[in-house]
Amino acid sequence: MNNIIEVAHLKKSFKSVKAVDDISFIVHEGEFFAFLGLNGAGKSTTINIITGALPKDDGEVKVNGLNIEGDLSKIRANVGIVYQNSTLDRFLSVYDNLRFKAALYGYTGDRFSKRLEEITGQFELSSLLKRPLGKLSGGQRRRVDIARALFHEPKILILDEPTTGLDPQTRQRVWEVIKDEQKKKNLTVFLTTHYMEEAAEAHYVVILDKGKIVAKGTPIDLKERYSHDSLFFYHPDDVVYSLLKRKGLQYSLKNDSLAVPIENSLFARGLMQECPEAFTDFELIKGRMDDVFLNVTGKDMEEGTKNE
Amino acid sequence: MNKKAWTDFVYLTKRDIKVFYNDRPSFLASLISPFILVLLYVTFLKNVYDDSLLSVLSHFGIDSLPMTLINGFSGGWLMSSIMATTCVTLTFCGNTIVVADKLSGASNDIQAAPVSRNVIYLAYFACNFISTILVALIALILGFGYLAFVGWFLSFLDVFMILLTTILLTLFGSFLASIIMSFLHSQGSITTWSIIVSSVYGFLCGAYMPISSFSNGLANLIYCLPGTYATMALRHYFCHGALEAIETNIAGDIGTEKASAAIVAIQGGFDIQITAFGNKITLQFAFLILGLAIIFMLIAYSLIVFLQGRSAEFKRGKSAKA
Repeated sequence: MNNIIEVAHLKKSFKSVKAVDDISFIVHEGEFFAFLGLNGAGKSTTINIITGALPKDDGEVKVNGLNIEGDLSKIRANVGIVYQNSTLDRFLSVYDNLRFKAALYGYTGDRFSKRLEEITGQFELSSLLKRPLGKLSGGQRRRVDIARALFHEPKILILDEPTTGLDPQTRQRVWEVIKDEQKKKNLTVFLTTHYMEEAAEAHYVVILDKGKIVAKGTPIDLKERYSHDSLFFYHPDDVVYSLLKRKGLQYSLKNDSLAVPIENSLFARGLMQECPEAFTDFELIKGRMDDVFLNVTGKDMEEGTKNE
Repeated sequence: MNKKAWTDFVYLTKRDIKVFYNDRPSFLASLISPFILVLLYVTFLKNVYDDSLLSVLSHFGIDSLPMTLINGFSGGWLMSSIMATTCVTLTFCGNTIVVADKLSGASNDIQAAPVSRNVIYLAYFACNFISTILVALIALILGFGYLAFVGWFLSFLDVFMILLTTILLTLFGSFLASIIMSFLHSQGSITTWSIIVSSVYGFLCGAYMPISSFSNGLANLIYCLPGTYATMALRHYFCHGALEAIETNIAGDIGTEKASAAIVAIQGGFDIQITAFGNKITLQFAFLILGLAIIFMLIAYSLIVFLQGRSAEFKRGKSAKA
């Protein structure tokens, strides 16, 4: 796969605060790439530098083989962005929001009409075209945001926390649309998020903390390196307790269950073979991205988010 | 401007204008200044103008005038005041979109597209000018309607020159607002500036009160501001037809010489003819000042946009060279 975004030793400070501190990473063409971190970790700053909205202090950024210092206009033509806070014009209709932005990418006249038909069908926007933005629900607005970012058929779609504040159903719908587009057009998706389940779906994840990369790899790699599987025993009896004591396993009580951290599923299978009578009501849960994040940053994602 | 830049400019300008007119609160706020002036006129200013006019004439032995002449003059004076303030104060309301875009993130979104920064700012300027001139023209049409109803004394040339002055003054106001707004980044600062300009500009251009009613120091300051000369030009074209009719009307009673002297006195007292720093200001000079002010502001605004763009590019490229 070709490198579509290359970032090397990127630095950016705001006065004494190092927002991005010497980070390097590569995004491949057609990849679903996730940037994971709490608010203030440096995710949006990096995106703003990649799109040329913010100047960098140091380092090198190449998008689609082009350096951002010289070829910003060509880079921008191939990038679609969905911002954390919608930038749609709330006083304009959905149609006007699409029309005025599309024109800046050369979509006018028949070319615009043709693409409008495609995109409104894909995002189920036909019935919303005449409505002012102010009259749409949060989920509908997000769909318009994404449709507008994809209108000019970019190679890269940058999503800056696109589903923050959306209900689970809408989040699911938004992701269906994005993944569908990614598959059809080999679109590179660059996502920043603090939702673990979204990052877990990515091909490659970079975890940022205080402007630095603290971990990177595929979700499976990260889970293997920074998390562990857990065996849950529900309504445990003496047989379970004696097995855990015999094997010297640590456990914690969670409501009516015992959570036992274990190395992997192979170890669980051994336990099951050794003492099948202990396994009457149990569950094996694979390592999660939450554990990865907690182990890597020392911060709980939800608490960290709430604290900021 | 190449084809791509021209298309970008047209679409951005349309977008900016549509956002401005669909933003009802901002649009209605822009009409407050002329509305207040009309309200003041209806409640008491008209009587003040009428009394002042008759007071000047009484020194020349004239106690009364036909109402059509009085209404034509005071209506013209009101309209010149409205247009002198509206063309400038409206531009500040029309330009709030620049700061609103910065605050909403729309500005970042637009700049993330392959569009020149100069084109974006040119479109903001065009939107400001067009949206202001449209409202100003509506005000002008309503004003002409009012004058036609109470007393019409304008020639075709007067109407043409009023239109020309309105366009030039709007151009001046658009540049002034664009320059000031390019340094503002918060809703609070826009509101503060809009309030300051809306409330103070009318006084500073001599639209609310004749300059002779101010102290010498303040009057000298007002003479240094280009808006004053545009106000004088508007007063001239709105009122000189009525004044000519008044002169003809009173000449029969007091003779042509005294009638001419009475008109000169009215022109002086009502800022239709101003004398700045001991010099009688001609209409040509008033337009020269206005034209020079527009050129100066065009250069200043272009420089600001250019330098702000260069500053961003310099910061972006600094590390590449290091």
